[in-house]
Amino acid sequence: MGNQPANSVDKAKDAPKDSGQVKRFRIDLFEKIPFLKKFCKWRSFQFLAVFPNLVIFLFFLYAGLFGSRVGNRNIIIIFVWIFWWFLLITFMVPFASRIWCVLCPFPFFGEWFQRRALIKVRSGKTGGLRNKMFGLNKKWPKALSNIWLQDIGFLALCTFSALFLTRPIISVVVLGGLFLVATVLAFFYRQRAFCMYVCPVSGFQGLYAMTSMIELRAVDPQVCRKECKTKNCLTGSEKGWGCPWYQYVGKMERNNYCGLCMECVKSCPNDNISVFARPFCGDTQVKGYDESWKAFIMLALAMVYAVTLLGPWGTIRDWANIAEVRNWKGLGIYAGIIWFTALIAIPAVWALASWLGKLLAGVRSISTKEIFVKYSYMLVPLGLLAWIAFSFPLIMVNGSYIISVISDPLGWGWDLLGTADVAWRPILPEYTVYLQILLLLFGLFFALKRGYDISLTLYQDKSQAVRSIIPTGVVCAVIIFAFLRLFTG
Amino acid sequence: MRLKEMLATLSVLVSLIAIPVLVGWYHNGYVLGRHPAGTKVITLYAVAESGAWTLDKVDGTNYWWKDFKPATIYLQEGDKVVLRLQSTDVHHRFYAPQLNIGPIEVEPGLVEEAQFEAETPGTYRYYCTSICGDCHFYMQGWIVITAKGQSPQEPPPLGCVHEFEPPPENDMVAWGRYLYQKNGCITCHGEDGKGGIENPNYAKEGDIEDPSYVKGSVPAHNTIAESFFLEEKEDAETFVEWLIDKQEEPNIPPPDIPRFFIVLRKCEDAIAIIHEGKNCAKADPNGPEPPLQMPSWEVRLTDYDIDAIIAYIITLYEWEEEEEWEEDQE
Repeated sequence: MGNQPANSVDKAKDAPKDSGQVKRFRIDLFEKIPFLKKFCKWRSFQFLAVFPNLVIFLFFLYAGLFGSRVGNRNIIIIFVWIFWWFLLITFMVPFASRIWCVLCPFPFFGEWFQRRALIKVRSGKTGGLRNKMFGLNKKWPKALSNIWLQDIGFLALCTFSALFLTRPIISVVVLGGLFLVATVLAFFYRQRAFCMYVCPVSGFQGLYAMTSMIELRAVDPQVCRKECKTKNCLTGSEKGWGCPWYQYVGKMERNNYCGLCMECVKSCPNDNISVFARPFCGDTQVKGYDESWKAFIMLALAMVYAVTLLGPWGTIRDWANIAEVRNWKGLGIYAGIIWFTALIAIPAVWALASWLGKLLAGVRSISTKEIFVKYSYMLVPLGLLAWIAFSFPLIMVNGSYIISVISDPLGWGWDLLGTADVAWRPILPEYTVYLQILLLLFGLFFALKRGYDISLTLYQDKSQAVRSIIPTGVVCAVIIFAFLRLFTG
Repeated sequence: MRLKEMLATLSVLVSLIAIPVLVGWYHNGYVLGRHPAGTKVITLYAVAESGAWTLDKVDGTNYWWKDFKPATIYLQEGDKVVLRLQSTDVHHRFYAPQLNIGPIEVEPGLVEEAQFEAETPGTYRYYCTSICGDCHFYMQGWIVITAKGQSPQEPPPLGCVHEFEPPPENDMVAWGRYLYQKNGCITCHGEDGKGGIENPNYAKEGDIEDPSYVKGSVPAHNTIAESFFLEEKEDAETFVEWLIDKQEEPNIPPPDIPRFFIVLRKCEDAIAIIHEGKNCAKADPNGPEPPLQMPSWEVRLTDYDIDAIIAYIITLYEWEEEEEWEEDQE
């Protein structure tokens, strides 16, 4: 059910199984760009990446607390929920995997506490690690060693999104709360338990990072498996910290749980780790129900948000907008729709489609469960592109706020860059819908293409593979056409 | 490595302190300090929920729980003043007609500035003149300008009252009284409809230049029975009872009161004014807008609500007691 065991320190010695991963080309970026390798091996790399972001984040919290309480005049709202979100979902995740995790300030103080260092490495021994770590360093409970907490946390947050998308103080509570939880958990649990199992942003990043066009992997996995005895990528060394995400690069075959912190690059004694460029949707494995449900939840939220924020139904918008309308019954209905769609309706349709796929393929040895989980990968590119299609109009409509708020970040009447009075104006609104159509069709294409690739790893016979994918493919097509209908009116 | 580590640690610690310090330094030193020396820079925050332009700094930490009080701005004659007006929620409009300030549109989150010189000692009222919420009509305050060497006089307190207990809706007169208070009718028409709230645009001779308005004060409501041609207390009571009964039985026959159809016509005129609103007439067409306009209540009040208000204001008339009248005759 969970995805953690393959990554744990204790099971690092296990030999990798045949993953059934679709094989793709890859380009070694460290080989092509030597400076990139040098930069990533530099000990100050992580600190220099995260420190400016930490300062910006603290400033955003300050602005949320003491700046204007009008959302579109406060930098915390405009830069976090419009600008950052757009960059994250549209560029960072699809093009650079979990690069955000390198920059993310949430775990900064917790990690500082655990390491008592910002740049240097401490040699020593802590559990299975070859680094000296501080704090209680407890193991995360096994029952929670999956992404269910992230699934439910993200769903819960998004249910009340109208509150924190418009109210700076609520954004402070949400972001500050996550910051605090990340810090407190670091006192008790080893390394980045928060990022791995709790952070709601991490959950969907991990899922959609499978589509990313870069990956961090072993140059030659055989060197890791057969020659490397120390497994320093996982356990650390005097050159680098043990992987904060509990990953062993020798067995790592997906982007899901690699935070790209580059500690493994520094600690690898064989210089056998690199960053590779690869095609879109390079990882094709969903490994458990928790990940499948993450895909369902993300798709459901993209649908509900598109209907609520971009659709013509004012009543639904009023239900979501509890802060202004204060209709608790409406919010209850809205929350019910979101949770039912994400946790029951879409999974039920997917289960039915998987069962039909099994019937059509006519191969008894491959279970409905296996089809259900593995084919749920189809919803990864589909969901990601639906989110991008949803996010583009947000930035195109609200982009001018970014220009004005950068001059007056607290809404106090400043004019730092002379752009504070730039009037609100949507950017090229007439082209938005064409862009959305292209993005959605691109998503559908990759959903079907990768679905077919996965089916070929399950079935020997091509016609069986095709028949098995038809029902889930139809579901994907129906979803995309529903989005198209909504966006094109 | 040790030096790097120390520098990194120092950077983090400094940044924790530097953010509030730099923000405060820039705001107070540069933004507020760009006006000529000696200028009084006063920031007023508009808060719809409290119905107040307040001097308290309003932000996310206090908006949701604090009841802000309207600011009374005390100035000395000759002060040069910059008012920084900032809306914390919805669209407001700042207007101090006697000081020739505004009306200034104040959009949510934006800061508008008004400059003036405190020339003539006196107590001047300022308003929000854009309907901004339940407390809009209470959103008024004072600017007190004191002559040099004198101490300022404290003006009467203003502010939105939130603690009106709603009576049962079927008690029509009590319901009308509740709506009259809750919706701020009393802010213009006076406590118990006694009127007398001066229209500040009406200038008496010797006051500030021009404009004199047609009406010097907002109409009183405690004489409405008289203007409806309800001559006897019993007639007024009968008419109010008829209004109450009409709610349950719309086709009820007319009551037996003299000149009922004139009374009804007057009543319908009053209802139309509440429905549609009425702009204050200006004696000088080029003069500034009067701040106390009667808005349209069509959307916010039901027909029953409006009838209830009419019933209530009819009851405000202070009838001479019959015995006293008879004594007077003798």
